[in-house]
Amino acid sequence: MTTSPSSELRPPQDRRLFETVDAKARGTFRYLADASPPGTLHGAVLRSPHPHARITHLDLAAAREMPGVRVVIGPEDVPPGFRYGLRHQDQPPLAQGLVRYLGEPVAAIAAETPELAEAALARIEVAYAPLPTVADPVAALRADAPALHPGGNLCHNFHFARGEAETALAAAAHQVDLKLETPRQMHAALELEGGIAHRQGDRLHIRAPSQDPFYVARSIARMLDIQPDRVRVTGSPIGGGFGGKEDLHVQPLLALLAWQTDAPVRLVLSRAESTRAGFKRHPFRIALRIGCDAEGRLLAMVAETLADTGAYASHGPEVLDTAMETIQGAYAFPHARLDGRQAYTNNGISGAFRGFGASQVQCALEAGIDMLAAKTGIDPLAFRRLNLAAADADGPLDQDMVPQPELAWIAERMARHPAPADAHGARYLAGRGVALVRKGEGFGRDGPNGAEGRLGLDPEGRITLTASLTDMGQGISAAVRAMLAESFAVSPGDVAVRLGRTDPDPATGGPDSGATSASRGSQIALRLIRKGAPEFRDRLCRAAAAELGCRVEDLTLGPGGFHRTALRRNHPDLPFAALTTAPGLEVAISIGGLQATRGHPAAHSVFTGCGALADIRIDRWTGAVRVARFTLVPACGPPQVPTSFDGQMAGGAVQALGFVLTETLPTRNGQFAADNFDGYFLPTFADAPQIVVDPVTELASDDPIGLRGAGEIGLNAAAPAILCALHDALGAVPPSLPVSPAWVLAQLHRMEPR
Amino acid sequence: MPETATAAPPLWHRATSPDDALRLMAEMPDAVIAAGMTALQLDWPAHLRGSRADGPVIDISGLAMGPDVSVLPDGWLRIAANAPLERLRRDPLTGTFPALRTLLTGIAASGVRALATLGGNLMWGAGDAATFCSAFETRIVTTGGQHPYRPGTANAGLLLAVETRPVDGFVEKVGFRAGFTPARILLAGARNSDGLQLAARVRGGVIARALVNGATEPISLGDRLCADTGLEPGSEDAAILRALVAGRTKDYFA
Repeated sequence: MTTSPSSELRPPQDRRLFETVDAKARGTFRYLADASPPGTLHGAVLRSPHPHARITHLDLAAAREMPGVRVVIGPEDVPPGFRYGLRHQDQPPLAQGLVRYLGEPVAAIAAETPELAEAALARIEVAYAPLPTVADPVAALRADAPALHPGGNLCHNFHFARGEAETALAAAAHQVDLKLETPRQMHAALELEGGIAHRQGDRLHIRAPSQDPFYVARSIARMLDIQPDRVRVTGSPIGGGFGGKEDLHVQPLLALLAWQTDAPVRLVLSRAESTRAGFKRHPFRIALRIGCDAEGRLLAMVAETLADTGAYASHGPEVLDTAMETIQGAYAFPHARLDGRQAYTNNGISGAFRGFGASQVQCALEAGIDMLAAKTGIDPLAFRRLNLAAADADGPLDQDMVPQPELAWIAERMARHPAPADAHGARYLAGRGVALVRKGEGFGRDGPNGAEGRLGLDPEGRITLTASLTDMGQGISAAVRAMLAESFAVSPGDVAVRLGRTDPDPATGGPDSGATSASRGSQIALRLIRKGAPEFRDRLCRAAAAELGCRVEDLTLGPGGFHRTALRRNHPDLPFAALTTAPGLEVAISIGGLQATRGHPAAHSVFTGCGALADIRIDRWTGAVRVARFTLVPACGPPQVPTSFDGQMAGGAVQALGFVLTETLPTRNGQFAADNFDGYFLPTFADAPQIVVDPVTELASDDPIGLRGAGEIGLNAAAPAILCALHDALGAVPPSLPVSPAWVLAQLHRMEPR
Repeated sequence: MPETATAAPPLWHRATSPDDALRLMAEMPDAVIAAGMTALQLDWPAHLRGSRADGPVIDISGLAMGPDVSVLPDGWLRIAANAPLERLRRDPLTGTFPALRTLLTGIAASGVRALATLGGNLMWGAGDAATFCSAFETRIVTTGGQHPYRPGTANAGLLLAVETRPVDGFVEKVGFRAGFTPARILLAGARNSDGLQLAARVRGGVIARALVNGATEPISLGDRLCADTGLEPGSEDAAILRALVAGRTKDYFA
C-alpha cells in the first residue's frame, strides 16, 4: 500500500511530532495497562455462557475463601439500580439476576496472581435457567417476542418527513428499490480493553483507555456515590479506539474491585473476552426507494432501516440518528420519508464504530444513486453533480448548517482522476465506483458540543494545551502541536500537549473537552487554541516584559522564547523556561458548540464531505473482488499534519474494505461465529490497495472553524465506492455485505453464460 | 521459543540429532514433535497468559537436516523438513519452481512463515502442503527410508526431507482475504506426461484428485471434484471450485 500526497506540496514535517511512532511499530510503546505497580492484584471476570438466561444460583463463598484471593464481587456489590449508558442508562456492570448476552459479566475477582484469579473463577458456583434467545431484530420487535428490557425491545426509533415522498415517487420517471444488509464489524484494536485502578483513601485513580475520560469519571462517581472530583481518570494514550473505547468497558468492574482494597487492581480482557463482550458495529437492514425525473433530478426518498443494537443501548440511539441523518447523503431530495428502528437482541452489544450509521446507509444510498444514473443513462459522477445539495441549502433534516460549498469542489476534483487503463486479461473484470458522501461532525443539536481546555507553560517551559481529548493513534497530539507552533509562531520543540486526563484539582474541575469522537477532536483543539491564544500570548508577553524591563509591545513570541522586535536576533532574549514559575499565566478556555438551531434534535450543524473512487478487479474464476486502487478526495480544510491526515484516510479506507469485502461476525443463537482473528477476516497489507489522497484544502472563506476532522470520512466514502464499482462491473448490487463470491459468480454467469 | 510455551509443566526435550530424536520418541510415545509450533499451539489448552502444551514436547527445530533446498541428481528439489517456510520462500532454488513458490507465498502470514516448516505443515495434515504434494510428484524422506507421498499416511521414523519434482503447474488458493487466510479452497495442478494432475481440497477436508487428459469430459470435471471433496452441489464453495476448475483447465482443453 502506498499513500500519495496530494497534487499540492506538503510542508516539511518535524520528526518530533512522531516520536511515538517508532516505539509503536516496534511494540515497545507502553500503554496504560502495561505498567503494573508492585503489589498489583490481577482481575478476572466470570462471564455468562448463555445469551439469555436467568441466574438461579450464585455462590461466591468458596472463591472468597481461597488464600490469595483479595476481592470477589457479585451482583449485590453493584449499587441498587445503577446502570450506565450514554442516552439510555440500561447496562449494569454485573448481571442482576438476568444475563442478556453471551459473555456478560456475572462476578469478578481480584487475586494476587493471574493463576489464582483463574482458579478462583472455577470455584464460583453458578447455575442458569436458559431463556429463549432473541437473535433476530425483526422477530425482536414482534409483539410476542420475549422482552429483554422493561420497556420492550424497541431501543430507539426515528422518523422524519419532508413533502410527499410516496406521491413524488409514484410520479418519478425512474425509480430504484434497493435492500441491503450490512455486517457486524469488530474494531479489532491491537490494545485490548483493560486498565488499572487504585484506591487511595477516598479517591480512585483509573488508568484505562477511554475516548471520554470525564464521562468515565462521572459514571464511576455516580456508581460509587462519591463526588466526581474523587475519581481521576487517565484515558490516553489509546492503542486503537475506532469507537470501541468510547463507552465504558472494564472501568466499572475495575472500580468496584479496587474500591474494596487498597492495592492496585489490573484487569485486561483476553482477545476471546474482547470478542464476546466488546462493542461491534451495528448490523443494519436497509430498504431504500429513490426516484428521479427523466432528466435525472432526484425527486424523493423513502427509507426504512432496522438496526440490531444487541443487549444494551450503548451508543445505539446516536448511531441510528446519524444513519437517518446521513441517508440522504450529499444530495438534495425535495421529498423524503425516513423511518428507523433499533431493536434489542441477545447478540452481544453494538456500539460506536468509526463512521457509525453513515457507513451502513450510505453504502445503500450510493449504490442506489448508481442504479438510478444507469437508468437515466447519465454518467455516475455527472448524476451526482446534478443532484448535489446547494452550498447554502438547509441540512438533510431541514436544519440550519454551516454552508458546504466544498461538495461541488470535491466532485470537480474527482473528475480529474480518469479511470486507469490497466490491462486485466481474460481472467479479470475491472470496475470503477464513485461515491460522494458527507457526515455530521461532533454531536447533534442535543449535544454536548462545548469543550474546555487550558493554555499554560509546562515545567520545561513549553506552551501546553491541556485538554481531555485523547490520542488513540489518530495523530491528535501531532496535530495539536502543529496548531500550537503555528498559532504562537514558535518551534515544534517549544510546544507540548497534555491530553486525556481528568484534572485532579477540584478547584478547577476541568478541563472537560468532551468525547474524542465523531471526528470532533481536531476542530475542538483548534477552536480552544484559537480562543485562548490571544489572552495567553498577552499574559506571556506581560510577564516577559516585566522580566526584561521593556515594554510589552516591544516583544514578540518566536522560536525558543521572547524576542525584542527591534533587535531581530536569532536567539530569544528570554526563553520560555524563564517564566515557568511566573504566576497567573494559565488561561482557562471554554467554547460553546456549533449547533443547529432548528430542525430535528439529532441534526448536525457542521458537515464533512469526501469523495472516493474505487478501482476494482474481479476474478472471474473465483468471484474474489480486489480493490486495486482507492482515490480519496476529502474536504477537511488544510491538513494540520499531512502524514497523519493521509494515514487517517488510508486507515479508514482499509477498514471500509474489510466492511464491504471480508469482515463479518454473524451470530447463531446469540453466539458469535468466531472468538479470535483466525475466524474473523481483517484485511491485511496484502489486501490493501494503492491509496491516493488528493484533498480539497479549501473551505468557505467565512467558515467558522477552518478545518474538519479526518477520522471517519475516508471510511464513509470508500465503502460505498466499492459497491458502486461492483455495480459498474456487474450491473448489480449485492443484497448483503460482505460481498459473497457466490453472488459475484452468479452475476458473472448471468452476464456471461457458458 | 514462544514465551507462552516456557511455563511449567510441559517437559521440553531438545533433540541433538535424529537418532536422539528417535530415542526420545521411543521413550515418550505420547510426546509431540515440534519445530515451528505454529499449528501445534492452536490445539494446546488455553490459559490466561496463552496456550501451553499439556504433555512432553520433542523440539527438532535445531536438528541438522541438510541444506534448506538442494537439487538432486534427478532434478528433483530436496527440502529440509525443519527449514522455516520463509527461508524456503526466499531461497533462489524455489524460484525455479513457480508453483512451489506460489504455495510458499500464500501458505501463511509472514510471522507464521518465519517459524513454521514444510514438514510441520505436511504432517499437520490440515495445511496447504498436503494438497500441493497430492498434485505434484513428491517423495518423503524419513529416518526409515524414502517413499512416495500419500496423504494421511503415517511415517515410519522422523521426517527429514520432502522431495518434489519441478514441473509446470499452478497453485490456486482461495481464502477469505488476500493475506494470511485459512484455505477455503486449494486447487493445485501439475502438468505431467500423462496429463494435468489436479488435487483439490475444501476447508481442510478430503483431498480429491483428478487427472485431466484427452479422455476427460470437461463439463463434468468440476462437478466430479466437488463430489469427491464432499461439497454440496449448491453451496458457495462448490460454485467457486467449479468456476476455478473451469478457468484453470480451459486452456488445457483448448
